[in-house]
Amino acid sequence: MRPRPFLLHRPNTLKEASELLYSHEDAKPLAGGQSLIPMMKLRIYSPEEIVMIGHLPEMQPGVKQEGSTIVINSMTTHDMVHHNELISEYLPVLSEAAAAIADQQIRNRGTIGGNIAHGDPSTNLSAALLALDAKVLASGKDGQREIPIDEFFLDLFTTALEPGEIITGFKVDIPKNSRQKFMKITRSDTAFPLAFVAVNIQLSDGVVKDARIGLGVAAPTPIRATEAEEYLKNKQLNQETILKTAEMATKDLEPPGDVHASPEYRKNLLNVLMKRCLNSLLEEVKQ
Amino acid sequence: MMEGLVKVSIDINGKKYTDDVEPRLLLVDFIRDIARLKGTHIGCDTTSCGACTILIDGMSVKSCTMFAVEADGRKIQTVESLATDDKLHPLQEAFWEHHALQCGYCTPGMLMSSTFLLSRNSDPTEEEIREGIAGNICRCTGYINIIKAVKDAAGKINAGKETE
Amino acid sequence: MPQKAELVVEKAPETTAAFKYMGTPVKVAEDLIPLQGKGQYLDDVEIPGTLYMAYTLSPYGHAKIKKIDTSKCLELPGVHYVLTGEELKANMDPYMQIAPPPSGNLKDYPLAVDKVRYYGEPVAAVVASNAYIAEDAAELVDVEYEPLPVVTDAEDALKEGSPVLHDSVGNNLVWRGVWDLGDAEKALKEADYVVEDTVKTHRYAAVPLETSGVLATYDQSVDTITVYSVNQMPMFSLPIICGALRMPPSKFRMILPPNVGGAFGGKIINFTHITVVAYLSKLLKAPVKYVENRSENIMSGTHNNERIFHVKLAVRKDGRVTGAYMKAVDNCGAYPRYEPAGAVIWAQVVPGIYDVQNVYVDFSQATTNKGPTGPVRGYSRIQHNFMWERMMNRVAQKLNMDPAEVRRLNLIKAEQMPYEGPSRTIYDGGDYHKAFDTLLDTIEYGKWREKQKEARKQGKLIGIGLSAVIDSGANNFAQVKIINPHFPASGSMEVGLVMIDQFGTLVARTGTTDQGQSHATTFGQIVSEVFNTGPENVVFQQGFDSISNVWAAFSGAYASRSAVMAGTALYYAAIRLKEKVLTIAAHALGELESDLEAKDAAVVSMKTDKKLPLGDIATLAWLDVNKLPEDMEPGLVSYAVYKPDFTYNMPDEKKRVNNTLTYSYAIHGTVVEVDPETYEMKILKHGVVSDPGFMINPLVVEGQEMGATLHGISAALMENLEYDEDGILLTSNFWDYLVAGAKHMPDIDMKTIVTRSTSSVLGVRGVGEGGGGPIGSIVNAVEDALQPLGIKLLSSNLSANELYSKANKK
Repeated sequence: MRPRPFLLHRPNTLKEASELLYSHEDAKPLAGGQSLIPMMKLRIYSPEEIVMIGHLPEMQPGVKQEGSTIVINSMTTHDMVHHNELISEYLPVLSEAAAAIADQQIRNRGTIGGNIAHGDPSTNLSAALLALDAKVLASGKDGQREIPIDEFFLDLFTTALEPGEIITGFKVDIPKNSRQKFMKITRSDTAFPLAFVAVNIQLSDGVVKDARIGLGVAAPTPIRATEAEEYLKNKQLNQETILKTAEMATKDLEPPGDVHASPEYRKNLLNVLMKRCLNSLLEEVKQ
Repeated sequence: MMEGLVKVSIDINGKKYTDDVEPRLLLVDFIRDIARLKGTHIGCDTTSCGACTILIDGMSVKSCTMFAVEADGRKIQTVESLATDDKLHPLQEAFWEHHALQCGYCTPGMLMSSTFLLSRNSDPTEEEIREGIAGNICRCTGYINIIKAVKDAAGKINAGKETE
Repeated sequence: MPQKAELVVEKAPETTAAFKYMGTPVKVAEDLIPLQGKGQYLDDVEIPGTLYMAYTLSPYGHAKIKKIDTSKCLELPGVHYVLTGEELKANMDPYMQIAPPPSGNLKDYPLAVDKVRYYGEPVAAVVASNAYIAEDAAELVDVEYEPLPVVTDAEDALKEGSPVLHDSVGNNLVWRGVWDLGDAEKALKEADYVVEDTVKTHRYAAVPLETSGVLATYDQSVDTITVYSVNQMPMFSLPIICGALRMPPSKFRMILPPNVGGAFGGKIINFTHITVVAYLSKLLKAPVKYVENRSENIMSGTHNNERIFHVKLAVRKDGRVTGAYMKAVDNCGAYPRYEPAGAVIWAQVVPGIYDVQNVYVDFSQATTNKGPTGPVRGYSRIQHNFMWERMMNRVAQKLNMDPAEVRRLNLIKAEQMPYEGPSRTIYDGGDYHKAFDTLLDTIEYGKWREKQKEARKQGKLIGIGLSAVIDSGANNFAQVKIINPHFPASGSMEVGLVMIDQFGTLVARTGTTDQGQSHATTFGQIVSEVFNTGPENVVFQQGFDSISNVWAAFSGAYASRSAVMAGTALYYAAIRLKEKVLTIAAHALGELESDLEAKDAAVVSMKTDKKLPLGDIATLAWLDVNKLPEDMEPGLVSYAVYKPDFTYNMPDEKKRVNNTLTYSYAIHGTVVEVDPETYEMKILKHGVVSDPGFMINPLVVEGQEMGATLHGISAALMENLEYDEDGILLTSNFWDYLVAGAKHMPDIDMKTIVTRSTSSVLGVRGVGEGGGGPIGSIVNAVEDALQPLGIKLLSSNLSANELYSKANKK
């Protein structure tokens, strides 16, 4: 199947790209295209205009450390995120989430910015970035701004990006004494995941000082398990607290149901993954 | 803004192909219909099957999920680039040796995914090979012979390097 | 050459050791073509000026077509034509139906006429200057529908008051037949136990990686349509198409490109596409191409028969099954395009591999608002095999016996071979007990039973499942007469042509259509064997062409027939040619034919060591023809049509017929672990022991068995065509219709034990289908694993989602 026709824009600067997107309501930026192009081929979604951004000097892939912050450029591919040394060392949950995206070819082409801009609750990276309290760097016609990831996902396929805004990157403060884990259940790499969980906890002498938990395919948007996070604070990580955290993280969820997973089953998977993530971190601590 | 056709120039297997194309033209159609290299196949519409896998600047991608305009000015390798002077690539040798294909439709994509895998990891485990070809569907062989072939090719390439 | 009235050929030697070229795992020469990207598949065939076709599809499961407005579509630049069912109806006849009236009154056209009957049914065909515009234009065909009530379940479809799909039929029954073999009622009466259950097989599809496609051109100078297609039985499909288009088959040239990207049965009922594209190419006087997209392939590119069985087994208290009594209902989908053949084909394996002579089957097939069914690897036998394997487990449960023991007790014994089943199938040898015991050893059955006990104590869910399948091969078309005595086909045949060209190269052709089964190498080995000469001197010409290649009306690659049928035809043709070669050589060398033998691309004298290369013989036969023996016809071409004797060639009044020539069999064993929290299923071990008969090329045979194993695993654990109550297919692309990838395929412990087929000339059995072996062993294993939870499974498809819901229902 092949996409409907569209007008192509190849702006020379990021500002120009933003202005184009602002003034052309039906225009869509094209990053790695691994979500957008399949939808266009199936003719589920057909923007009338496409703005290429991958060639712009401001949009080149890269990961760097600025003081105690990691900055990941928008066009960094999942494969780069997976293998980047800074990310592997400081933000392993993000590296693991990237490694678990689809297959190698898609990871080689898909980008972190495109993935997040899509606003899909089933993209691994969203849960990881929620767990890491990332900031989304957005550039619009009126300049740059930082959007806390907690405020980014508004509804299914709807984000806080204003007309004309393009994600240029992400900033993550390096968490201290952090233990992180990403886990996912999928029937096939070429299918959408059934459920996934990203966990980032700060531990001190076996006591959880802070916790952030991202849940995937749990609601119309990527979400955090805030109640469970609160509960876990200042608790010793043990079987009891793990069970309780998992229960709190999932008890009020109303995840979507489809042909592969009923809402109840999905809820169960999130619960199981929650337990497994924390158990695996507990094992790590013990070692 | 570009209306109508866009000039695209792509280096495929060391040869430059230039044409004016619609922005929506998929890279796989550029390769098949403009460069007329038919080894790259189409097997699905959802970026699932990997029959269209090629290397772009050394990275494996599914050419059905890129517009040709995105590949403008870049270097592509397709299955046709693997054998040189009628000498098979070690992966091709190993696929032949292990009967790692039946209908052959997935084979070019499998070879390109495996080429990328070995470019990264010269001695992959069986599990790493399965991960490396997870984006390529084969309906004939049951994968086992493909996995054996990739493992075997890796061994042969490494043995070749040692003797050099 | 003079054709002998009767072919007198000895059967091939009894032992593998007697062969030099056959029986060895020769590397597959034709693999080298796709390996280098040099294959030519359908979509690679190019003709200048080709137009492209795309379909407008039905978004409804069942709806009346009130109006089709094509005006917007025709306004789009680049659009050449829009074809609707209405126009086709005026210019063609509906396809012939296998079933007699009233269901034979069904009117089937390649585009919907008056109403749509399944989701994804083609409603209009748009032709444009390129594939992109064709897809744009197909969206602009404006169809006004009036939705109709939908029926998706076959048993519901046969009930009074169900929505009726085809008004010309009056109800949804395609065909019903009763097999009353032996005395099943008596067996039930006399049984110690009656074991009763319902078994269901789910709907999945063939999905070869290359979808179907057609390229047709019309040549005005000779008033002929040339069609390039990927149809698996081109000469069987041809009369269906030409009958509908009211044109003689001789004006319709069928070509298959040298490479076909897999088929698995799914490239037979694509004759609908061929009809439309051929019609358009003649109308527009231009080449027209159409290639299915994956969704079209999944929606309507051949689904397998979804079947429900209500079974009662008569069982003795020692575990011996003495009879089976069942009602089976088959869901045929919206149009019977090869059906209701599936309603009789299961009868190739009436008792499975078990010695049961009293079998009663009341079989019905119904149309429903789902995609059309047809042959899918293991066509109609997968379902029946699965039923037996599920029921054997039920017997074991009832008697509290080990399922392996129940099976062993009921297996047909080697000394009963060849075994005549209750429907007069003749199982052509084999040692089922040996295969079964080998399988138990292979998967370490006893050890796993012990491990299972331990695992259960720790709350782990481990299960072991067994299944056996018969892969019946080389079909006898006479079985279709059970459905319709007037159906003009019976028996089977395939053709082989062997010639020697002017330079002495052996050239072979047959009518089979290779879709990845390595015919060139396998058939080359047969010719090599007869001429005692290496493969470098043999060229097998691949690809099918009804004008320039050989064919018989049943030619093609389907029903596990190629090695048995084409292999034998080539063997005969080669032997005939060798006789002529020896006669010419004897004349030229002045020796006796009986002193000569063919060897290494020459004829040599065992007496004088004199040698005449095949090239020299070819010169005599083709060019220097006055030197030939007197009265000898010049040329070196030999042609043989092989028509096997099935012993019971025609069905009798009790529907008994030997419906295939060979019956290969395989035993599968699976150990699974079910995650007690997520209900994900993991195969810990899978073993297969099969008996393919004599293997011409073991590498190829093993490849087929491995592929069949993958299909079974994928069918059991992933592939499922799931429709909602409105008849909408919920799994219409690879995001939702999941097929097994490399990570899903466990290591397979595969063994073969070889007994020669008692009914095929070369001792081979067909192995193309594999009979869906792992489906039964996986479902049995998962149910065994879940035994502590008391979960009973019904269907042949399992998902963790479903297991979770079963586990949490109570």
